[in-house]
Amino acid sequence: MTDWTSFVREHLQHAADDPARENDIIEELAQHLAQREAELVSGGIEPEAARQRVIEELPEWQRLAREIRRADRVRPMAPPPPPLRRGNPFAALWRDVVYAARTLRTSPTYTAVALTVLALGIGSATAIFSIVDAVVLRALPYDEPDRLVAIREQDPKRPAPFPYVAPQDFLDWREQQRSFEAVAAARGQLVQIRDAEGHLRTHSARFVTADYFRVLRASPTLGRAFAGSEQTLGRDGVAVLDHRFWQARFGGRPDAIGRTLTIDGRPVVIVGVMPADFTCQVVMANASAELYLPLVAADGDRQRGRRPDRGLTVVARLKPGVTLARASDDMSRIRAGIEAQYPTWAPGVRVQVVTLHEQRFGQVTKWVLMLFGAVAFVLVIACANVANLMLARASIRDREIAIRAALGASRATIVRGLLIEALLLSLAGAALGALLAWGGVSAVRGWLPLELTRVASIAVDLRALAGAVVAALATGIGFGLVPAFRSSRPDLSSALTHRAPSGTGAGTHRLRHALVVSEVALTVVLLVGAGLFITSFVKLLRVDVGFDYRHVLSVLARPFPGGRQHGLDGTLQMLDAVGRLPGVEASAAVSGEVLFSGIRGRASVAIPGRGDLPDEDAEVGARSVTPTYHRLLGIPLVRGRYLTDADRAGAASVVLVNQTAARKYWPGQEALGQRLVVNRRESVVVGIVADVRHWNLEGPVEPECYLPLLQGSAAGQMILVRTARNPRTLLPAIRKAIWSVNNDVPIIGDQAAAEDRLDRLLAQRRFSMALLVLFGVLGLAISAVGIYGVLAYLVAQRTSEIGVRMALGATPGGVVAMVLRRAGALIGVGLALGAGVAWYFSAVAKSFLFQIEPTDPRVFAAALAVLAVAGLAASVVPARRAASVDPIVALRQE
Amino acid sequence: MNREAKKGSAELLILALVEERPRHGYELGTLINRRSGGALSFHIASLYPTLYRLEKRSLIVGRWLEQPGQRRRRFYRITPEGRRVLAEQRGMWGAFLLALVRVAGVRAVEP
Repeated sequence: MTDWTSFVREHLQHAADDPARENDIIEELAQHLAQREAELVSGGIEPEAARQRVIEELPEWQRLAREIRRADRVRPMAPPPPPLRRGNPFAALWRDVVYAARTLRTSPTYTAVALTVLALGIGSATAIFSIVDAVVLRALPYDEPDRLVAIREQDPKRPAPFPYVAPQDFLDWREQQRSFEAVAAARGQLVQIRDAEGHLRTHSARFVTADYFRVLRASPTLGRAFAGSEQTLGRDGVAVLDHRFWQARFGGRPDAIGRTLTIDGRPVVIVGVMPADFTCQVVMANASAELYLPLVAADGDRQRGRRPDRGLTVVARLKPGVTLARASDDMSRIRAGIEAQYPTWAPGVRVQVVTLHEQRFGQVTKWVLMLFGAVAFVLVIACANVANLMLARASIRDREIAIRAALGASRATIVRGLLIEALLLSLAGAALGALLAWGGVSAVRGWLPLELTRVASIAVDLRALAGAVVAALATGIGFGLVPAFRSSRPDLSSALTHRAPSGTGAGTHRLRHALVVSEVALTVVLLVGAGLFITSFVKLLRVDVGFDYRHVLSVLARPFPGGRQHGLDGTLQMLDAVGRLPGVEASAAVSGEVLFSGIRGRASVAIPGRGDLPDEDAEVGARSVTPTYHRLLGIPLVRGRYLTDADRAGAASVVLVNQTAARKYWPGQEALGQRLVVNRRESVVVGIVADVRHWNLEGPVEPECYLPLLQGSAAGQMILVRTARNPRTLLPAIRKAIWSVNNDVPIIGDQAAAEDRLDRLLAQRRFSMALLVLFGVLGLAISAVGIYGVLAYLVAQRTSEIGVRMALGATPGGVVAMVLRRAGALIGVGLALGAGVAWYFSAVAKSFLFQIEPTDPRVFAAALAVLAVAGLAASVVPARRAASVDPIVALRQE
Repeated sequence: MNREAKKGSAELLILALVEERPRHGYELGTLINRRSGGALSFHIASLYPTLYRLEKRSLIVGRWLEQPGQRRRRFYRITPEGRRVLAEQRGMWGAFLLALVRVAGVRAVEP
């Protein structure tokens, strides 16, 4: 007997990838041939002749191998349609659902991709909307929040309004207003409270006027609010605690009422506790209060001096029936009266009445809108993708639909079946998306800083979920029903013979291409946006603050009022003590600023001989420093000299200015040697130092001056320490050193490192950038899938055309080029469209960006390149499949 | 015999034969040829790919079987899913045939 196994192995090449499987196939085929041979022999034919006969009957090996490979690639056929029976409608419905589920399961790639895309789109849209809604959009948690307003002033010459108001103005407003049922003011301040062990701790307090709680219609959950009589000096030793402080300090015990706290050295009785959900972030975003104290008018608060000393935020509640416009007019009237009486008191300034929500969130609105725009894009891209997938699948199902129609299924039945399938898919995708949204929201809630208001209340917003689900359902159903309407009369014979029905499909083709192009365009916009934000952020990171803030600690060393004041000498002793610690490289004291915190000192200036400067020039940033300050921070000296120990009380008054101040006040001249009146004290400019940015990375640098602490009267508030290594490890030692001089200095908080504060400044930008990058990536992934889908379908449908080309001499390379050309056309149109849209809307983006034009060509080029690469990568597999088409097989399909 | 019709019915034929009892490839080819009176014949090139296709779709399952005195052979048997598909195919072909009879006047004739 012939060794058919070797024979087959020799002739049958590449029937399977797996060698074990190939061996099986070879063995089985060899068996078959052997049996044939045996049968012929037993029928009487000579063995040699039998062998010849078998060989004559041999198949074309190449074709056989191909058929076997193709068989191995087969996917299960869509299950046959359910039997058409009348009966219990619910049973029929359930049957349809089961059938739909099975159909989906037989196309796992399609189902998986559609579910993923739906989940991503719905999940991200819902999560973002929920977060933003909870943090920003929802009304403030007070009674009738739309009746609450903030009263502020606006200088037309400055871009932003002043949220802070002078006490003189507040008192007049409160007396003369007619539109509000209550007006109140508040001021935030740090106070020192002795804790249970007797150590001083710094806490944030809010000093509020009598009507504050009445305006907000909030009352303490325990005890009472302030009585009117307690708003006078001497009777104001009462406090209302914030809920969290009450929990932390008194363990939530009701006997806290009536207890006494030592606040800034004086005894204060606790009279009430606010409920847990009361927030004081009424006007300003980063306000915080651990307790509330009465705001008492000081003697000087009635007289108007030169300039308003702004420190109060003012809130009010409109009387019923009074509109915002009427209230504005009322306040303008009062303002006019004040201006008439005191013409030099902030002339030209106007009073504004805005809703509390606007004051609180006005700045953030634009960010919110941008985020929403980006999210909407992702959702649209996802829906377009799902539509595409369904359209592609529609043509594959022609055969099945045709058979069902031929066997008597009414159009209604077919439509119902398709509808259920589309619904099933969309609902499953929506369920996954909801899960994703829930997870995302929980994650973000854990990650956002708690100071951000209402973080605890962030939850999946059902409206958002519903909206996204509706969008997905509409797409799913809309496009899922396409198969039912593809041809008016299903063509049974052509459907059974796998030939594409003539006349249909062209419209679908164009629609699919249009969908892919729009996906690509939207993704371009997202990527450009992400690129712009990344660039802004990177540039912000690179902003040269002008000094070396690494390894620098700022430590509050101000004793509480009433505690032992150590004065200037004490400060110098502290510097000395700290400077001697191992690991400390330098120490300096400064009053009037806290690095990167936004707290900065200001001083009035005048130039002798020049008369009164205009208002906006009459104030500079100012701080009093010890001589080591500039060297500690590495602020370069431009001309002149640094401060020295010789610059002390009794010596000539000197001052350092920064370059901006020098240029501003003595343009074209030499600033050194000039005289400057700072806070009504005349000094000589002895040095010019480089500009630094110590509280604001984005705006222009302000003119600033540095006064010698030794020549002033203020004790240093902050002590700066430069350490060799991680400054936080030295904190305990530094604290001890400071206490060795004065025990009445409070315990230092833990945001002392300059790097930490700088991080917080950058936090919002970083957050937005991260989100936008996430959306860009999502959009990119979904679009790439869309491109792949269209091309794969194209290749599958055009197999015969490709076969013809190859039979006529086209090379695999040529076919690949054809596919890539088609891909390139789709991607190219999408890129052009997207770039155009991004360009058109660039003006909108301008206000978000930092040091980069919204039409920056490099960002556009990068975004286009990324998308082009992704698109071409998605084209590779279909292109290769096109290249491996066997022309003979392809032609045989005709 | 029209190639397309043959191709469409190959699965039905194979499923029906393995429903009776498990068979191996050569046996299937011979049986189809014999029972159809020579009208249908499946070449090795179309038989095995069809078998593999059916196996991939879990309508039949193939197992190597060692029979005494012979080398092992691969037998195929039908699965419950295969039975179900067979029943439906039979029903579909029956209805189709009925339609052809009614519309086109098709009659079963002996060659």
